Amino acid sequence: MNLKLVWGMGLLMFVLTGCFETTAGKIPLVDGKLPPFFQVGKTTPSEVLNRFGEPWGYREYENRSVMIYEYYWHTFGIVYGEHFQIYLVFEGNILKKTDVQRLQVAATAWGVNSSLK
Amino acid sequence: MDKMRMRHKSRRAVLILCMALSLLLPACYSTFSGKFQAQEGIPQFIKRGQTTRSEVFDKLGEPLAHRFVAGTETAVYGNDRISFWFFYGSYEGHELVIRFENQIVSDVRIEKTGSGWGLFMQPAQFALPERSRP
Repeated sequence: MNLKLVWGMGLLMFVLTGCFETTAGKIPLVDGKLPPFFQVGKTTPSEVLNRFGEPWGYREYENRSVMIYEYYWHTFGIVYGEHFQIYLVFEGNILKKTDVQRLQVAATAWGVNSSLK
Repeated sequence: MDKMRMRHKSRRAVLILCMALSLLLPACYSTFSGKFQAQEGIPQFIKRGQTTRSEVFDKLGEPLAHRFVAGTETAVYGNDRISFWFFYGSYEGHELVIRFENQIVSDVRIEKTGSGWGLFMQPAQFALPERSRP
């Protein structure tokens, strides 16, 4: 067997080790933006729960409630990934405002993470 | 002499390859965490309109989250499943969401929270957001 071939295979395996993809979160964002389902002044909490499911976080105070969802994706080799938190603020059971916060942009290579933001 | 050297190199290469494979072969496993199994579906003992909150908590234990969401009492159980087979790893996360009305199950569903895959290693579950909830 050719030793160069074996080393080449080993190197290929090392490169492929950095290949992975992970997505987490119940509200899929596109380019960091919410889907058109959410309409300020119209959408209700029960509509959101039925469509997207249980939020990651929830708090309520008097007439105001906030649903918090997370969205996360991380992909490939020398990796680029983003982590978002989505805040849906309701007043009187109607969507008052939405807020998508980008928490982290990360580059990862073979398990070594570095946060760019 | 050259033939002997080539044979020696070939044997060494085969030995290195065998050692690499012997390290990979034990890396076959499947692990899960959580108090319910998503692939088995909704636990059979849970019936809408019949099962009580205390029955749920007795059988499944303390949930990951227990709170009122939009006026509805809600309990959440989590489940993560990670599999690794030779060179390919996969991850799936689910939640069992149970809603109660007057302490009786009014709605129950399984919601997917995430998925992933990876080559020659576990999928990027190390990079997942934390399961703990505010």
